Amino acid sequence: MNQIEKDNLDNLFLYHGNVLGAARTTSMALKSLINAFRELECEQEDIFDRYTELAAAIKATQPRITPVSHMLEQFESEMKPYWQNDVAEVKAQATRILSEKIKLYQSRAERVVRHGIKFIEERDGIIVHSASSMVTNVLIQAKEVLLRNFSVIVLQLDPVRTPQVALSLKEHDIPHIVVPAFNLDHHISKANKIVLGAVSVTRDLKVVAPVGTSTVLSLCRHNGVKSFLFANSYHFSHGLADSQRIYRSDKLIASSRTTYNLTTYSHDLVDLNLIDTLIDEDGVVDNDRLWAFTG
Amino acid sequence: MEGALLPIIIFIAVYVAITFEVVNKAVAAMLGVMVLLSAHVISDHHAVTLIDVETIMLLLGMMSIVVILRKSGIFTLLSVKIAELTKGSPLKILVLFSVVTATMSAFLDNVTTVLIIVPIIVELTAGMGLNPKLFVISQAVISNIGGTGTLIGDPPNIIIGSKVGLTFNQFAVNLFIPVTISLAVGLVLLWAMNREMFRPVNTSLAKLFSTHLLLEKIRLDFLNKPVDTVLLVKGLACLALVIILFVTQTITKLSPGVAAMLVAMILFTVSRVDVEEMLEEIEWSTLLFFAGLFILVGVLEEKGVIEWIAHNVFLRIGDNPYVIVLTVLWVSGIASGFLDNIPFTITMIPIVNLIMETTPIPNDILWWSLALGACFGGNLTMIGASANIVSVGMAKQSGVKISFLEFMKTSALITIVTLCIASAYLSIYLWLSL
Repeated sequence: MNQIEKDNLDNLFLYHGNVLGAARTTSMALKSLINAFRELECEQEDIFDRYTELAAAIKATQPRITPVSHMLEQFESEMKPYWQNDVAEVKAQATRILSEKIKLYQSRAERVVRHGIKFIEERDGIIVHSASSMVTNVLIQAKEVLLRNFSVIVLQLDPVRTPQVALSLKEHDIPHIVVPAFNLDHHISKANKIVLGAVSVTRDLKVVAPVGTSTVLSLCRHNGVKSFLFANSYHFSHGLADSQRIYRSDKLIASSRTTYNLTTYSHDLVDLNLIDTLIDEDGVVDNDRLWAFTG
Repeated sequence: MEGALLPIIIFIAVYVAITFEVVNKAVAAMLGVMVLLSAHVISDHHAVTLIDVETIMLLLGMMSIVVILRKSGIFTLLSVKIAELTKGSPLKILVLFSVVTATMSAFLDNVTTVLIIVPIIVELTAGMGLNPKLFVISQAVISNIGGTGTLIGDPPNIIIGSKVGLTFNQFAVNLFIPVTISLAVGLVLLWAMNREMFRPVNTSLAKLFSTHLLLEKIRLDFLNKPVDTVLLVKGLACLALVIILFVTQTITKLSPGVAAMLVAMILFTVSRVDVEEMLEEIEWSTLLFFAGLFILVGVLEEKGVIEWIAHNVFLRIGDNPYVIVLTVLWVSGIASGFLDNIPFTITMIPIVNLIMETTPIPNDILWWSLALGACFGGNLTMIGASANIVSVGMAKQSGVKISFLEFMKTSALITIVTLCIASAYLSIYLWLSL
């Protein structure tokens, strides 16, 4: 892969991460890999190299999509006995293993949702920032399964993602309003909880989350709004915060009287201390489990 | 040619202003008309009679139908489906999008077609690491070739059809062969000139993977609103009705302009769309531009300028029908490349009428010569046809800048080859007709 192709791949992951969230991006990336294997036409001796080249690029995207990297590592481990088989067999095994990975990831996500809905209570006012599919499913199932009555304040973020979240809530008759994140202080008195998703939780207890999360969480903490983070264990990275390859862009901005450099980052690195409750597929992650994770 | 000096000066000034984009085309044409009215060269009542209402009605009617159909979201859905069908293969992107562009350009208008196709093709090709410029230029060129095939496909054809009274069927029957051959040859040329770019992607796992992510992005970006099926059904039914009326023109005795306006008004009524909102999307500046040019050329015709050009330029080439047909074709082709082909066609119609009076040529071959020349010639440069200007503008909005020379490097050879195909076709047609 040349640099342009790597940059394009970075941009695609960045786009999907922002629009769909890390969970759906993970499933989509694995499905895309299945389709790519199915359509691939190459000699037997090339197939492993073709995969290695792509896997290296995926694991090095900015930001690093931790669940995708974990899934690929598991895939590689399970594929080891098959790489020397003929091309058709390699493709068949790759398809089978990747399909299993998707199911595994989705089942863990569903378990997170099952635990998560318990934290939604009657008459809650819930702030949603950068809703991932897990967050949306928690809200929908709390309404549909537990018949909870609550209202949602959706913080406007991505032009594609925010309407999707609003549509999902509308379709399930969940009362909601959409407000810009910078206007949250006008609405925060109506809220008592904030629910979040994340790209990764790192070993040094940082959360890689969509841009703006840090500011919103600080405001919530200041106003006594409890925060809940939903992430299955595939989102837990054994790396540190500085290895998460947060995308940084530097742009020279010219105005009529001056020029200045504008630096922006694609994601926030939020201190896990700002989160009151972290929920994974096994329920609330208590301090013992957290210490075990940090090593 | 008494009193012709001022109209000639104004006409040249308007032409220069249009070519070099000094001011908006419609403003240039209407300003010219206003100067003529202010100088009492022509009265306002007479000026109105010089406007070819048939052409304006046909344009307005088709624009209205297209605006409502576009609102249904069908064109975007179609383009996204085509993008999915290509599976990222550069050759399939070229061929499938070209087929859609050519077909849409033939039955709608080519500006609308490129407005929809270009953003998707830029997203797709740039995302795959291909050079989007070639694909943007190819769609502009193909839309002009495809639009040549029907009465309603390209503005020069609309003008010729309306002013001369040629039917939809006559255009389709007489231009189908050269247009189809030109499309096929054009695609082969595009492939041959850029063979490196059309290497298959299915040998690279990375490219295939990126393509799937990219197609998902295109779906999310472009299909963020569902297709309005009720509006779509009504729109397609009306499009089918208008085409049926065009095809049965000799039976119904309804001119294309009347048919288009009638169906457009029916569609406005049955679709229950916000008419004010829809009317805002009509290209009023184009209609104003046409109206202004009809008046400017009408004045030149009345002052004897057109007759003078016909006698002193075109009729000097003799009375050999082959020479006349090929001269009209190539002069139209070259001139349309550098001047806007709309005013050029409006200017040429009275000239061709005068040539026909002196040297009758059977089967309207001289009109087909003008249509093929003006439409194919529009491909020569970036400024030759509205679709080219719009395509380059849309590409620029997506971050792809195409220079005049870059456009011409790809389009010039295709223009010359397609004009050669048209020359061969017209010569054979003439030989069979004489």
